[in-house]
Amino acid sequence: MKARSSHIVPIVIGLCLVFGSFIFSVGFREMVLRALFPATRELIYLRTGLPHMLGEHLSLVLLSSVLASIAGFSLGVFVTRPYGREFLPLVRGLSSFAQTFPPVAILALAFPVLGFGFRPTVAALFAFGILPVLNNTIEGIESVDASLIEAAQGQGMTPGQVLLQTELPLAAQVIVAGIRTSVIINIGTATIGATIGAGGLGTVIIAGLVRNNTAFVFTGAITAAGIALATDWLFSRLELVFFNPQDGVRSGHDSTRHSS
Amino acid sequence: MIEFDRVVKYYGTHRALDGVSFTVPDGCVTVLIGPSGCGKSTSLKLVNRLLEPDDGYVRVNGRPVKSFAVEELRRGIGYVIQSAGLLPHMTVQDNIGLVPRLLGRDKAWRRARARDLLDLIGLDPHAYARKYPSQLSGGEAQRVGVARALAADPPILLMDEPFGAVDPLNRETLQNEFISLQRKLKKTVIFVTHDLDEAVRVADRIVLLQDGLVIQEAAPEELLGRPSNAFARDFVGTDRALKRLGRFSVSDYMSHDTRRVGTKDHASVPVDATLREALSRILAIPSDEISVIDAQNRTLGSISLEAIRRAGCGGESS
Repeated sequence: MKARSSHIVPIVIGLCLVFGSFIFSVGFREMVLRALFPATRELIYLRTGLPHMLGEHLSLVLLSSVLASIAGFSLGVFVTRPYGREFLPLVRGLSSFAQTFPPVAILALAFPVLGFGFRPTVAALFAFGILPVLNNTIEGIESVDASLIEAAQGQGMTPGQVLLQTELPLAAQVIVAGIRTSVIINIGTATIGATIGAGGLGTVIIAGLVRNNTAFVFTGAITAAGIALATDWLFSRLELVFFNPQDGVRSGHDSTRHSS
Repeated sequence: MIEFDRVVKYYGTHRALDGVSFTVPDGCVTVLIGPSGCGKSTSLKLVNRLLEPDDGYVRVNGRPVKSFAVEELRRGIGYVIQSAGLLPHMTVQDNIGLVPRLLGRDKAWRRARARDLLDLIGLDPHAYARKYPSQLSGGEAQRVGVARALAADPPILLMDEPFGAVDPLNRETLQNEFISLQRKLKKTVIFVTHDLDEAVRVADRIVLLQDGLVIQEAAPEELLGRPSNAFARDFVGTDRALKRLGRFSVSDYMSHDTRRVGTKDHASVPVDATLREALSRILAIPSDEISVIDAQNRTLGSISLEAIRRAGCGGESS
């Protein structure tokens, strides 16, 4: 692990430098785009700066993902508690049904109610982002060996202690994977927000589509892809730090059970 | 003392326990045994209230378990389960220190206690304290499971097929370790197993269950010597006389007359062996008598086939 990451670090730093220059230095961006699209006259979208659009994009994603993670996680914990368990089949069914909805449809449904702009986009991203977190929270908690939970109860843990000290630590990796999926999906989906005036990187993409300007589309798309990759990489680092394979959470303790 | 008083437990419409009454004396190992579905594990879980009875009472020292706060009750009862049930995200010492932590003991105390207990169960504290359960063998995990149950020094231990997931060779080692540990600690133990040999080895008393009913409650010698009905007779098996000999020690049945021992063969049996072992050794030699030796190889006397037969027929030791 150590040897591999020491190779990766300079590459990552290099990529960050290139990517940062592309976003923040108009001159560098123009140079790159000119090399890629020599036939295009207008290379730089002038109405809004790229850093500004990136900022809008990130605040859309951050707000909706934080809310979605809190909601998905809380709902997932609720339906796996004894008092919420009767809702489990309902919630499971609804969430797999909802996942078949394309995000554009949710956006289309949201804006007549919430109007144009930032809020309906956050609402749509929030609704869509809940599902991976919810699903993974349920699956993560449900996959904890029932005999382990009984062992924890048998040692005298209160229900809260069983949740915090047994179920959540053992489900954490699956839950974090759900948050990761949710955030990555939201980074891509947030570009659609521009269609209803939420700003973000979708602005330059749509401008490019309207004016048949590939350089604009490329600018927005590569930036969104870049932050998606960066976020994914950050999450993978996070998992390595928090879920060291050494501590056996990954391998678990396999048990052979006989009923009696 | 733990009492079961006409305890009834349903699973849906299935009557898992059908009015079970028995007592578990202090400082003894009481084994609950019977075929699958007889209600032995169910009975055990009624004591620490992982299950609640539908009727009847379970009492600890005369007080119904219902009247205890459930977490308090459980923290005062050691609980050992099959395949140990160690929490995989905690180190061995944190697993052992779990109940003391729930009881509010500080870190230094828990560390010291974990180290003492690892010593007690025969695992090197330096090598094992910081390991994770996935790094332990089945037998080691099971020992740590016992250590965890002992950590808060509870007077009562519940053991639910504690050695059931361990291979036969290690199981016997664990059983012997448990027996010598229990000799020191004198806990009140309820031990669930479906393995009669294990029951005979570790039990002071055996409660035989079938379909949620107590068939016989007796000392192992009595259960093997006088099974109370056809089911009990079938359960203890056709070699029950042989199993029963495993309960008796050579030292109680030997003759201390050293002159009687012939020197025609060098076969001998250790004085702390069981009559079952002595019988096996006599059958391998042409004589009806075998010399009894101590740990220093000194001849203490002899034991005869006749003495073993008398013990096996139910004659009390003289």
